[in-house]
This record gives sequence, structure tokens and C-alpha cells, in this order.
Amino acid sequence: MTSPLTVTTRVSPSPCLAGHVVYGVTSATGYLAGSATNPLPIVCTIAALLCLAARMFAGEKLPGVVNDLLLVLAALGLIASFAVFTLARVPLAADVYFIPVNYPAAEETALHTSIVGVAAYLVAIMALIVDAFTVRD
Amino acid sequence: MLKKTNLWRGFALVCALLTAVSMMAGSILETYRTSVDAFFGTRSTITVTEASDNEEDAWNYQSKFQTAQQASEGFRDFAIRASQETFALLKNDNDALPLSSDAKITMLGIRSYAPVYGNNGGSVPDGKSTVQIFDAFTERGFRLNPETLAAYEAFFADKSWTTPQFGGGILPSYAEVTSYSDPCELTMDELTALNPNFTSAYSEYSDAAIVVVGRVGGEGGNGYYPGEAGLAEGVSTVTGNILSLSDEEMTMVEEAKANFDKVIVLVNAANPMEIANLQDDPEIDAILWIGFPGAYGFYGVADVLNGTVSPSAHLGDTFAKNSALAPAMQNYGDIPWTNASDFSQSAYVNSYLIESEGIYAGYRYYETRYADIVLGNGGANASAGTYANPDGTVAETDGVWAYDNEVVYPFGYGLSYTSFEQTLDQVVVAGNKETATVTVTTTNTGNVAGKAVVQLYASTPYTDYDRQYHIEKSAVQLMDYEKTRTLNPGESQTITMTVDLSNLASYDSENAKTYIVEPGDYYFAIGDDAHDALNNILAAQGKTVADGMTADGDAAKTYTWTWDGGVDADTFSVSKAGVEITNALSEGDYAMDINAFLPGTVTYLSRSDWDSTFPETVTGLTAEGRLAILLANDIIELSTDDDTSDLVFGDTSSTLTISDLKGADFDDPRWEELINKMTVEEFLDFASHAFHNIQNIDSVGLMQYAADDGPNGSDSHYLTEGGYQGQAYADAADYDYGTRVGPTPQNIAYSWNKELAYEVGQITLGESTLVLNLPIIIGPGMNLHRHAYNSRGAEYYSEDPILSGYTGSAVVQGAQSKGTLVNIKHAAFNDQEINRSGIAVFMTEQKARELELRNLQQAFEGNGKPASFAGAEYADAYTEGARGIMTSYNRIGAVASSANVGVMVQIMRNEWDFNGYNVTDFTGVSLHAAPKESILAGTTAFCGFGVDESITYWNAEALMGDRDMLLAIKENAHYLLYALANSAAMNGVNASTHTEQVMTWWRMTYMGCTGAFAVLTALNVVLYAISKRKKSKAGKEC
Repeated sequence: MTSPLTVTTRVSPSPCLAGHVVYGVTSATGYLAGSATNPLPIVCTIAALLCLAARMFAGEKLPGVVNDLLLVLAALGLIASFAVFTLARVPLAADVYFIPVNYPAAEETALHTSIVGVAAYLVAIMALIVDAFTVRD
Repeated sequence: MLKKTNLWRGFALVCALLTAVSMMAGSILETYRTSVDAFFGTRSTITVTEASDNEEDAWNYQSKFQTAQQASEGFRDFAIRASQETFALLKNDNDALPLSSDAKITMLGIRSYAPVYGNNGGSVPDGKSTVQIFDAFTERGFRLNPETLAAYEAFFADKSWTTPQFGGGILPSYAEVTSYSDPCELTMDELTALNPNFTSAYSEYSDAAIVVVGRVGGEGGNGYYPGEAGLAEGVSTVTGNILSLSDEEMTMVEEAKANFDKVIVLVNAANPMEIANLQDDPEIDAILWIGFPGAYGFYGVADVLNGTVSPSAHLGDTFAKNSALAPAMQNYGDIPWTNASDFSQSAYVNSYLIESEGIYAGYRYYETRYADIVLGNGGANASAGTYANPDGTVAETDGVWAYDNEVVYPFGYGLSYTSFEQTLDQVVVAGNKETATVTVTTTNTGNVAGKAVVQLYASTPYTDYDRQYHIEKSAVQLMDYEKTRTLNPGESQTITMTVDLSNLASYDSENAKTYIVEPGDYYFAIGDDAHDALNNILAAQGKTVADGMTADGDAAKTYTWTWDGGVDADTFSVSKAGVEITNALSEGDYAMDINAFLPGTVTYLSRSDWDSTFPETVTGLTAEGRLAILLANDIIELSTDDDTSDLVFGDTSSTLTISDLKGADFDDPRWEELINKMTVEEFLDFASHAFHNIQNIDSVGLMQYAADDGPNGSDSHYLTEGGYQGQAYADAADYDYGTRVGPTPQNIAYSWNKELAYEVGQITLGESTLVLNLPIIIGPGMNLHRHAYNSRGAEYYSEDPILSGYTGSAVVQGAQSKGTLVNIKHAAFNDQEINRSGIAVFMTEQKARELELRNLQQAFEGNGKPASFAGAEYADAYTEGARGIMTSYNRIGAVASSANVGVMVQIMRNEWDFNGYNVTDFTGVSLHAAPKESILAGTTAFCGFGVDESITYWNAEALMGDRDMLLAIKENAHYLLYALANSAAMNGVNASTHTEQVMTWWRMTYMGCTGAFAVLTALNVVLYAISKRKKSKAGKEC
């Protein structure tokens, strides 16, 4: 049995967590305060983090196929979170960039903060993709 | 080296990510499909109608353009013809104009090379179509000084036209010279540096020097400010205001005066400029106001300059010496609520605008002050708002107010190359006192052909009753107007107008609480402009220059009529729709009078005491109590337990579709059956997807359509998307031109030509609808010009409610004759762009009703029919008013405009019998628009990109327990379906009509990518599994 852990596996939870926090904060405060929050990114991100945690802490005891499955499930969870998060913020971008003089400052703040969160998710996904190419099995 | 299992595993995730991205792109592209189509010039859906013998298949609205070439040439030719009538000759000493058609001209000023063709936002001109000033002038035969041209060419060599802030395509203006605080004129040093030979050809091109001065205009932003606040660093102007000429512009004027015998100034600005110095300067021979001529308009300018046509436009606004001293300007700009930050940002609570000038805006102020001096009503002693001393020098303090020291060109002013004589032949007031028939004969007494304008004004008595109940009266007001045909020298034309006397009535909000007419002498007068007409009225009262008049009037041009008896609060107390008219905006939540919320806040300007009531800036107000509740835009609570079981939604038993009600009356009993088919969800979906879009409603057979801004033609679409009766133009690809090519709407109003405005409706709006399949066009723009400084005036018409109202009404009628569902904007009181989103606009109900609302009313009641439309050909015209409106960003009083029941329901829906489509401006379903309150006030759609997540009740479940909301939804569905059934949305539609998706390149791309990446993902998973299995086998064998 070889270790399924790489540097990227160890790194990816951080941006993943950052994206998760940004999604939660921008959904619950500021311009979007009081709005209905789609739970899918939260559920999927937590599931992805659990998969990564399982790989990190029990990976060496698990069969290679299971390790791969955990990696893939984590990546898919983050991709789903990334997609839903992005689509949820598209109306903000439409407001801010299509009619440039007609939006409250809080909406612009929510959008730009969300862009940071979306980017964080993307970094986490890329880290797992690198992992998928390089991890020993 | 990577192992195979790693490769397949990695590629599977890459492909999964790309699949997700492709799906996201697809979702976004489909959500904003109509905007994407507009951007890429694609057609992602087509409407298909099966062939049928059913006569209802008829294309009831016929485009006159069957090919893209016809359309391109048609829009172009009309734009040029229209423009020719929209330039006002303000000065023409010694017949300096016209020039010879091959005159050798020196053009000076940065606007002589880069003029303002149109707005920089909102009703933008089409850069792809634009023929530049120097090309148009050259094509018309003028020979232009190549050395001055070369300098400007050099300056702009590394600069490009820009993209508009709103709409699509190219804007024919340079960002580097687009400023609201700097005319951006070049100095002589800069010009000679650009071309050392700049002055070398003056003597060769000396038939005339044409100096072009201009100011930009457009939607949004802060626009113009008076005084130093409005000037960029280093900019200095004649009056100290941005609307007068800068030192650099004056240098160009002086350069022309010093080197040329004939100096002509073209005023390329929509905002009334402060140009007394040009008027007074004997070395300036001619001044021509050209406004914003449009993409082809400089052909028209050349046609006027060379005398092909005689100028026939007249000003629709007053040109003051210093417009910043107008009473309306005392409350303008950003005047914040002290506690604005206490409110949710999404409620857009920022500032307020208290229009304490009352009815005294534009000429109503200047002419009434003048009349009060002549009539000895105390006006001579009033000093407030004085600009100039009797000797013409600028007054340091309020001094002696004199008309000549304040006004440069009055409302209605405009010269011609010929002269006209007009006689007031007859005035007959109808027995019911509701109308008067006025006959005027115009004779061309000059030497060239030309058109004249008949301007009919009236004056009403200012009485003790008025003083007691705070009713104000303008000394003169426009009642009606007509334009003659082209009259040859010696030729005459007699025009008979039927004048609506309801426009004479005053609104009495204190005592009668309705429109009144008071006993006394009424005067009807014709005149060359408002001041001339007032002088004729004063002459009829025995006044002369000895009484302080600027010139003796002609009493023969005035008819005096006496209203006997007491105050008449009956004749005009019922609307044309039969609805009793009473206070809507004076008390309660929907009041527009700030004193109704904060008693004693403001004293409104009164001619009874100009000095002590002259407006002061009202600052430092705090919104508290009920006012604060209203401003928060969340006024009502939804019920959850009303009995709504009797209300039918989603009825599937009927086979009726909207096409069955094509052209049906509003009262057709089948509407109820059709509306019962619609579900609440369908209405909410329709209402929340209205940004340049008409959302489909499947249950009633309504298909999805694109819609577009704006008042001067489609802002986003091009003839490449055009077609005729459902078939794309075969030559579409060769004509990448827009329909927004004509002179700006303000120019059209200045033509004072109702027939021309009707054609604008037919062609600019109507043909845009038919050629581009855009059933809704957001326009015309009909907000009044409150003063000279608003930057969006070009999109609107005039300071006067009758000129604006009748121009807008004609545009609406022309557009509706082609099936356009107009959205008149912006209802109401979009009086400034500064803080337009959320600013709370306050005024008296008298001002609201007699100015802005009287203006809109003309279009909603279909008033102002041209005298020439009396024949059978136009029997169907002006039989119904506008069927659509767009509400404003600003609040009406303390309430979101679309939620102000006083205006939206009591006045528009009830008094004016407006039964059409009512859409918000770009708010979406958000707190900005107070959605539930707006639904209750008759809003049928919210322009925007869907529902803001903070609006949690935008679903059937949340609304099913509120009977009022459900009834409002049904009523609003009736309004919107009626409006669409009577529009080009039904053109060529029958029961077989349906929408088909078209595989555009962008749709093909995202679908292809989604499919391909999904397959690749699966393939990589399979390869991974195979590789893993092989490896496993290999491991076992080992």
C-alpha cells in the first residue's frame, strides 16, 4: 500500500473551505441578506471535505479504488458547488455590468466577494485535478 | 512519467469540469437569450405559422420595407427629411444665411470635426450608419478648408469612437471629448501645433466661418451642474456656468470674427445654452440651433445652410442668459436625506427633490414675471433671481429684474429665410365651454418657400380666489399649435384648430379639490413665440412699451373671451373617461407635497409675492415616521388566510388563446376565460423576465419575443436581424446598420410638426418593431424639461406640456398604427439623472397635474390630432391613447413610482382610462420597485433579470392567501394581454403559430461542448476502469 496523499491533497481543503465560507457569508449578509440560500454548495462542499478528510486520515488503510473514488467524489462535489455558486451570482453580475450606473454598492460588494469565493473553489478543483494526475496508487 | 490510470483519472475530472462549465455557459446564454441575440446578431428562435386559409392569418401590420436595402434607405431618407425641419434659426443678420451651395467654408471648433450626433447613453445614434459632418457637408457641395480640418484630423488620429453605456454597437463620439464639465475645446496653440498651416487657407475658404459649439447629453450619471461645481479644473466660461461658452470656445469665435466677414455659429447642444453674448455680438451673423441631428442629420444641416430648405424649427425651451438663476434650479442635484444610511441599500433611499418653484418652470416663470411688471402687479419691485443689471452687466446682488436682461431667446422662437404674416381669423368657444375652434391664416410674405408654425397661446385671470387657495397662473401658456405645408412666396394656408379648453383649467387642491375655471377675461393669442403672444395679449389689455413692455404687441392677434358667473368646479371635474377628478397627490401616503409629511417645510413660489416666496434650497430633511415607512418600499403585509377559492387560475377547460383575441376590445367578455387559463406562476414568471423581453405564457398561447429600448429607434438591434413578414431579409448580411439614425427626440419636438412626429412614430418606432420583430419599443420619452441643466433632455421633448404632450401623442399614434406597443417613459417626474434611482420627488398637486401629468395625459388620451388628419384616411388615428408605459426610477413623493396609487391607479388607470402594459424601469423584482405594492398598483412587468433573492414572496404559495394580490394579478394579466393582443406581437399569428428554436452558433457551441465533454468524461472513466483492471490482473499474475 502506498500513500494516496500529495501536496495538493493537503492544500485543496483550504481554498475549498474559503470558497465555502464566502458562499455562506455572501448569501447570508450584505446585499443578499435574507435571501433564500441554495443548500447544494454547502452540502456538496461538506461532502467533498469529508471525502478529502477520509483520504487524508484513512487513505493508507483504504484500497486504491476507494481512494480514487474519494478523490473523484471530492472533485465532483466541488465542481457542483462551483457551478451552483457561480450561477447564483450571475444576476448580480448582470446588474452590475449590464446597467453600470444602476446598482447599490452592497450588490457590487457581494459580487466581488463572491468572485473571490468562486475563484477559491476553482483553485481547490484544480488542486484535486493535479492530484488525480499525480497521486500514487 | 504518468501512469495510464492517473491519466484517465485526471482527464476524467478535467472533462467533468469542462462539462460543468459548458452547462453553466448554456444556462447563462439561454437565460439572457434575447440579449445574447442582440449582442451577437443571431436569431435563436423563430416564429412559425402554418399556412392557412383563415383570414385571421392576415399580417395586420404592414412594413413598408421588404428588403434590407429598402429598410436601410428608408430609415436614412426619413432621418434626413426629418432633420431638415428640426433646426432653429436664432439669428440671421443681413441674410447671412443661406450660403451658396458650393460655398468655401472654414470650420472651427472641436465640434466642427467631432460634433455631438446624439446622446451618449439612452437613444444613442448608430455609429455604423453615421455620416460625419465633414463628409455630409462635402457631399452636399460645400468646400471645406482642408487646413483646419487637418488639425482636427491629427488630433483624433489616435482616438476611436466608443461603445455606448446602454445599448449596442458603436457610439459616434470620442470619450476624450465627452465631458459634462469641460467643452474640451482646443486652443489655437494646440491647433497650430497639430497643423502649423492651420490659418493658412483662411483667405481661400472665406465665404463663411462656421464655428460649432456643443454640449454632450445622455442617460445616467451626474450631468451638468451650475457654477464652479459644474466646471472642470481650469475651465472658465462666459457666465460662470458650463452652459455658456468656455474661454477656448470664445477664442474660436474671436478667431472667426477676426478673419472672416461672415461668422455662423452652430449650437450643437440639447441643453439650452447661455448665449446672450453671441446674440448681442454684431460680428456674429447667424446662429443656428441644431441640437443632436442624428446619424445622417448633417445632410439636413447642410440643406438648411445652403437654402435647399428654409429653417422652420422653433425652440421648445427658453434660452435664458443665466439658466442657473431659474427658480427650479434652487433645488437640484444631490440633496440627501440626513438619515439615508439608515435604510436598506436595496430600497435606494438617497435624496429628495422639492420642486418649490411650483408651476413656474421654463417660460411660465420668465413670462409671468414680465407680465406682472407690465400689469403693475408688484412685479417691478421684485428683485429675486436677478441676473443682469439694467446696463447688461452681471448683477452682484438681487436688483431690478427686467425681461431683456434675463431671457435671450423665448420659448417658441425661431426664424426663417422667408417671412410670414398670420391673422387670427376666428375664435368660437363651444357652448359647453370644453373646446374652442380657432382659425388662423398664414401667408408667406417673403421671397422663398418655407413652412410656418401657428402657435396659439392663452392667458387666464389671476384672481383673489387663486391667492386665497394658493393656485398659481402662468401669464401665458401654449394651448395648441400646427405647422403649415411648404408655402411658396405669396401663398396662404388657413388652418382650423379644435382647442381643448381643459388645458386652461387650473387644479385647486385646497378648496374645490378638482379642476376649476374662474370668472374673468381669458385671452387667446397667436404669436411668433411665447413672449410675442404675451405682448399681443398685453396689447389687448391696453398696454404698450410705456408700461414696460419690451415691444408693442398686436391686439388684433388676440381674442378676448369672458367667463361669467362664479368659480366653475364642474366643467372639468370629470375626466374624458367619465371619472370624477379629485385630489390624488395632496394628502396621505401618495402625496407629492412634502408639507403633507413634514408640515411647513416649504413655501411654494407664488406670483403674489415673488420675493418672499422665491425658492431656497431645502436641505437637511430627515425621514421619520410614516415618511420613513413609505421610503422603505415595504408598505403592506401580505395576507395568508384570505378565502381565494373562487378565483380561477390554470383552467384547462378552454381552448381559447391570445390569437383568438387579436385586436379585441378591452371589454371583450372572452378575456376572463383566457385569463382564467393563466397560472399565478406564469404571471410571476412573465412579470419577472421583462428586460428587453416578452416572456412566453404557454397557457394562453403567448410566445416569447424580444423587446428593446428606445425613443429614437432600436438601441441594440441591426438590420442584419431584419425581416419581412416572418422571413429574414435575403440581403440582411449586407446592411449592418441600425434604425436609431434620426435626429434626437428633442429635435423632433422643436419642429412643432405633429404630422412629422406621427411619421417618427410610424418609421422610427413602428418600422423598428416590424423590421426587427420587436413588439415592444421602450419609448417615447416624455418627461418635461424642468430646467436647462438636466443631462437627459435630448431624449425628452420640451419644457411645455402641450408641445411635449402633442408631440408624444403623435409619436404614439404613429407607432401604434404599425403595431408597436409603446412604453412611454418615465412615469413620472424623472426630472434629473442625479440620484435618479430612488430620489423622492415632491411638488404641489397643481404642478404635478398641470405640467408633467398634463403632458403625459395627451398621449394616454390620444389628444392633439393634427388639423390635417381630419379626413377619412386618418379616421382610425387618435381613437385610443397609448397602450403602454414604463415607470421611473425615482419615487413619486415618498413611494416607488410604480407603487404610487395616486398616479398609477387614480389618475392613469381611472381618470385616463389607461388599460395597457405597465413596466418598471430596470429594477427587476427587487425592493427598489416595491414589488407587491406595485402589483397592487397595476404593474404588469418588472424590467430586469428576474427576482432578487430578498423577495421571498414571488411564488404562488406565498400569494395564494392574499385575495387583493390575486385579483390584482388577474387584472394586470388583463392589461398586459390586451396590450399585446393589440400589438405586432399578434402579427401573422394564428392558432398554428409557434416558436421554434434555432441552432445558432453559440447554442451549437455550448451544446456541442457539453455533449463532447460528457462523452469524454465517460470515456476516461471507462479507460480508467480498464487500466485499473489490467493493472489488477497484472498484479495477481505477478
